[in-house]
Amino acid sequence: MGTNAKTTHTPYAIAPASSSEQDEADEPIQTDVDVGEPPLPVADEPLPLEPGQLPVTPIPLTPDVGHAYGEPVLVGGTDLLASTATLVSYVSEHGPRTVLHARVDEDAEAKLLEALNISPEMVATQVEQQVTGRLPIDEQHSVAEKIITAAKSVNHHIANGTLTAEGAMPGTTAAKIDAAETAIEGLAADLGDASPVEQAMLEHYVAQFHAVQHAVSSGAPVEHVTPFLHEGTALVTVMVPALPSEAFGGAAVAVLRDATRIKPTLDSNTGQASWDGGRSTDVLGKEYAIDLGDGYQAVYRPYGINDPAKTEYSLRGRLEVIAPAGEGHGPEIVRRLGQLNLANRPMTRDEGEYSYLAANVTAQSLGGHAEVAAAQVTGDHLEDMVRQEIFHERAHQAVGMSDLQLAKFAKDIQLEAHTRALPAKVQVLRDAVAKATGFHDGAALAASHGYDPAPRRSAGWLAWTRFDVGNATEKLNAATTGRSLVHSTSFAGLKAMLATGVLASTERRATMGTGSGVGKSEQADKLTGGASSVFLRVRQTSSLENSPMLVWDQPQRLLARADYYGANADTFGVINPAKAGEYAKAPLTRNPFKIAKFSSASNEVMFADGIDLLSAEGPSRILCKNTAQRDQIKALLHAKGVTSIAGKPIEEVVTL
Amino acid sequence: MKHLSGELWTRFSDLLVGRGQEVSDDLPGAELVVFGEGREVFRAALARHARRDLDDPAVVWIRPLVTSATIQSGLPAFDIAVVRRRALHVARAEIDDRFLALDLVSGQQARIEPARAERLGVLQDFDTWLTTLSGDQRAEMAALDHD
Repeated sequence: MGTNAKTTHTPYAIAPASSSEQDEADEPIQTDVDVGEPPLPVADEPLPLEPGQLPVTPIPLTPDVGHAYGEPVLVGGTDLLASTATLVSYVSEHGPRTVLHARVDEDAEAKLLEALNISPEMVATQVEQQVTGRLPIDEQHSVAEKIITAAKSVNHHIANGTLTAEGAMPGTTAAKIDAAETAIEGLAADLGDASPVEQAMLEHYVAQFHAVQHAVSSGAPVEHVTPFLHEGTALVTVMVPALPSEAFGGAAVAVLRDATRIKPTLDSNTGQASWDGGRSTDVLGKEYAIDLGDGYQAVYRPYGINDPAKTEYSLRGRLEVIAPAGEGHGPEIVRRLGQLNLANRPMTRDEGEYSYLAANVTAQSLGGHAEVAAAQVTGDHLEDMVRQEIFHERAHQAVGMSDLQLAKFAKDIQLEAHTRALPAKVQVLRDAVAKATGFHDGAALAASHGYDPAPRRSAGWLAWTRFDVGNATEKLNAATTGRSLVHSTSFAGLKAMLATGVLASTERRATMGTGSGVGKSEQADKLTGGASSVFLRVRQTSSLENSPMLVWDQPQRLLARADYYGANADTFGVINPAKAGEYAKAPLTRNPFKIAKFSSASNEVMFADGIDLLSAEGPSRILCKNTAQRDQIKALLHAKGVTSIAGKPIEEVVTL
Repeated sequence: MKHLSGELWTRFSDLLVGRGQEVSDDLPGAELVVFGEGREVFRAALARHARRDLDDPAVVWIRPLVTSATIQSGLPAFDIAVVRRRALHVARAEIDDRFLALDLVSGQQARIEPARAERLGVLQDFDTWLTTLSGDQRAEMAALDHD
């Protein structure tokens, strides 16, 4: 949880998994339930549960309002990628608007789609919204485009020495300037008796055009050309699914439409995220708009109908569940996943430990060890056996069931088998990982200091730690002495990050609606070099100059995470460690001791999702270029109520 | 030759700004192609700025335009976090006809060559976006010292 979070949790929320004893908050958890089933057992009648069945993370009643990256919750089962959903409460004039963001596992898509009653049409309703943009007549004449084209040509030829104050203008440049002038004349003629706003637009563009002409005569480049933007209100058509004529009981009504993205606004000073329900439509792909009833809505972008070559990066499988405005919808919005046939209960500690071990298998490259590979096969086999056992016990109950009831019957058996088999699966995998890493057995591994199967919150997501790092703290401290992890940025970038409190990956920013799209899936995956990560570099601590920069002087604080990889040089076209085998020479590594020795100026260390800048993961130093910048950053943090970062007073953190 | 200097740097700069290339409606520029183990693994237009690293001149900072533009207010726009700076860590460089051929420390081979087809289109959009930014913002981007 962030330094300044003030989250209220549900009465059945529990202490972190690392808590050693069960207190009164350790209430029994709900197994997979559909909306409409009885509420949770009351607090004074707890059901006896094994410690491993207690939830790992609490579900907040109302996530911290206005925090753009929200609060993460772990959801049981494997229906959601990383078993993680993020709850964000946006500020709105009608009260907090809580949205659940998650990505559905491709294997869970079929059952999700089975829950939908697809409507053939949408019904249009109109609402008035505040809009900022160009006037329609401006776009019709493409005036801004033509002046920019002329300016680009002028600047290009000035830079290349083919346009000087004394020389002749290149023919292509002259043609572009003529086209801009003609567009302005056409705009003026069409305006006729112009309104004050239209007159202001015309004057804006005439002034910009004169600047281009001046650049030609003076031989000095055009400073910049901006479009004329107008703020006002407009009637916006909002489409909602029409109820199908053959609605079947309990199914959520859905309609297919062009993909959208929620469109929150961020206050550049406070980082507060607000959302009035508006959506961006400049998204490549298709989505289902789903009415869940009672004011709850969902939006889902299926894998099946979104071609990765033609859709936006990470669009496929992305799910939003949107609560009606108001407080206290956190638990209910998670329960609503059940309406989509998705697991809707918190992750148990057994499941958490399994995920922790799996994360360590990846981070420590243990997958190739025979005992680890065998343990994963054994685990699947164990679950199959339990499933068959439960089925034989209950087969008689299936007699006379409808198709819908049978589907739910099968789903319940599958979930119960998953839960029942977990303790044995965890033990088998823990033993195997222990042997692969030099421990006598799983018990010895679990007793080691660095073994901590509780996730660590980092902004709106959760991160697991590496036990090999936890067990070698002093060795890693020595290896990283004199080295820092850094992220260089502009002053504007620094302010924006500290306003939200998060250094977030491009994908996270796009998912949360706080960044623009990142292009098509395949294109972005191959070329961006990791849209789902943030980038830091290893530098000599003594070499850091006073420019805007986030600095971790104890890199081991971040290297304890299980979700990073690095390379001692830029590696074009190689971004996904899972595919590193395709490139034999790719120098990617997850080894923190190799990363500590990175020496190339172009080295990179990529951390998944991002870094919470105001928590225990926060930077040791925030470097500024001058005292004016330093004072602004301090004022920004004070205004947010932040007095220290990672235990260090901000007066010592924010420096030159 | 380990560092891009002298004639090599001049050729590199000329390719980036399209100097000496034929000018049409589209303003000429450069693209980067990278090969790994004999096959192409990367191709993208290059923004018209580059710089040598202060501590290690063998490292050249560039800005490949790895995605097409999004549209804001009817005009192309880019996310600077997506079209972030990248580095060419050069082990060897030579001029090869119209190209600049580079062997990279990573073991990959790279070519800087005139931008073509859709890469040229992306470059025009990037130029358009830059033209809407202030001089300070453009200078900050051209400095290539932010991640």
